[in-house]
Amino acid sequence: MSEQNPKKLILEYEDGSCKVVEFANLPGLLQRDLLRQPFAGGATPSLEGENSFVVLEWEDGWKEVFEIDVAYTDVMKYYVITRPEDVGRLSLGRADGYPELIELTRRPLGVKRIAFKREYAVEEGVNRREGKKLEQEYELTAGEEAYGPEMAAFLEAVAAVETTPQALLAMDEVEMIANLDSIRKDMGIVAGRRQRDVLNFMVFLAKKAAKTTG
Amino acid sequence: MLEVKWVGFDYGQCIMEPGGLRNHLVIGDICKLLGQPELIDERIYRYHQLNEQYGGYSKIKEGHRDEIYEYVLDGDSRAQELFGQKEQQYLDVGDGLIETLDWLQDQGFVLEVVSEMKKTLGAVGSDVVIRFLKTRGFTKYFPVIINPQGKYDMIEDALVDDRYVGKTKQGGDIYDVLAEDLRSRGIEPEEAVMVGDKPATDINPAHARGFKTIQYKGFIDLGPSDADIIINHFSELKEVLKKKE
Repeated sequence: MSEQNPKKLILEYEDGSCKVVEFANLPGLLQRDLLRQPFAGGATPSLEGENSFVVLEWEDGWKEVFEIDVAYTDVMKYYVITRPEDVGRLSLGRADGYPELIELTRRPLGVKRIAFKREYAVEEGVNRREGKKLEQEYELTAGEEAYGPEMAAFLEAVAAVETTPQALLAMDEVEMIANLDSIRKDMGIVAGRRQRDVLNFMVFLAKKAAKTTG
Repeated sequence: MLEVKWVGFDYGQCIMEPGGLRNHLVIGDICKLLGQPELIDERIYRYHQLNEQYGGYSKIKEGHRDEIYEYVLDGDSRAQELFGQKEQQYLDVGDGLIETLDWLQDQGFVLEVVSEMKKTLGAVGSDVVIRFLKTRGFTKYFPVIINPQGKYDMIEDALVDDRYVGKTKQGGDIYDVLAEDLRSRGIEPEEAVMVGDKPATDINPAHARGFKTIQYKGFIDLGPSDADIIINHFSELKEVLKKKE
């Protein structure tokens, strides 16, 4: 590398606890994202070591430079892929501030149900064209309280492994994670962007079920 | 209009279209099913690196599949199994193909698949090509598949003609055996038409041996060929083929 390699990433929490991870064990894209941030020296030129650069110039005179690892020696090829991509945008409102935005790239035109506070049936609405952009809106029809199907599937999966929501919640952390993960697989549900989200959802279902089943 | 009795279809980029095999679906689903959604971007990036290294996803799958498992998917055996499943799930079928096959079958054409099966993985019968044809219900149109491992009966799961073993479309000798095979069934090569996308394997060698040929450009246009007819949609077959009695 042309720059110094960080060794560890330390996360210090409000309660004083720390998590330490070897920098090299982080996903490569995350390493690059962290290293290009200004706090990591991203805006300070390096006077040490070798450097290697790619410079690109556009037909309108625009130029950009990319520093790359000195290990790379030649250009292989350049090409452009053009194809229409469908991206779904689900926005969630709050009383004050900007909305939360969840972007969906997995077959967004195929979403048929949204559950958040209430159950929403998703039906095709207005289709608009703006130049080359097509926008498909959806009508959301609110129904019952959210997560009914997930709760039913959860209770069925819990009964199938002959345990109870209360017993799950009483397990130690490692055992609870293993059991919740196994149950969520039986339910056919996965996390969209962070595994912890689906495990927290399982805990949410377990707590709710424990309340109603006494 | 071509008056024929037999219609042979190529598999890749003809019956099966790989356009649905998008990385954010295949790699994305695998990572989510394994409980690792945080790794999707990194693994797609690594898959893109392999694509640049070997010059295309089909080349990675033909000769460097181990690197998909080791480099892209971190050597996780569960991911390997899921990769095979997801590949199958997201393969598409040519637009208008099913309706056209129904029509061809109703007209009484004999339908068979002629495939080079280059990307075959696993023993013939359990390979990705035959698995696709079976799981998508194509065996009701195509009971057999002719390929360099022999003529395989997909209904009976049995090799029924070993004269094809070692013969290829690229070399053209598979069409020599096919001509003999069809003659023994009362069909001359000029009463047979081969439908496919690749001039070098589906069109030119078959045409040189007296078969009628139709180049399908609906998925990819691989350039000029000796084809008798060019189509861009399978439904066009209804307009250019007539059953010879």
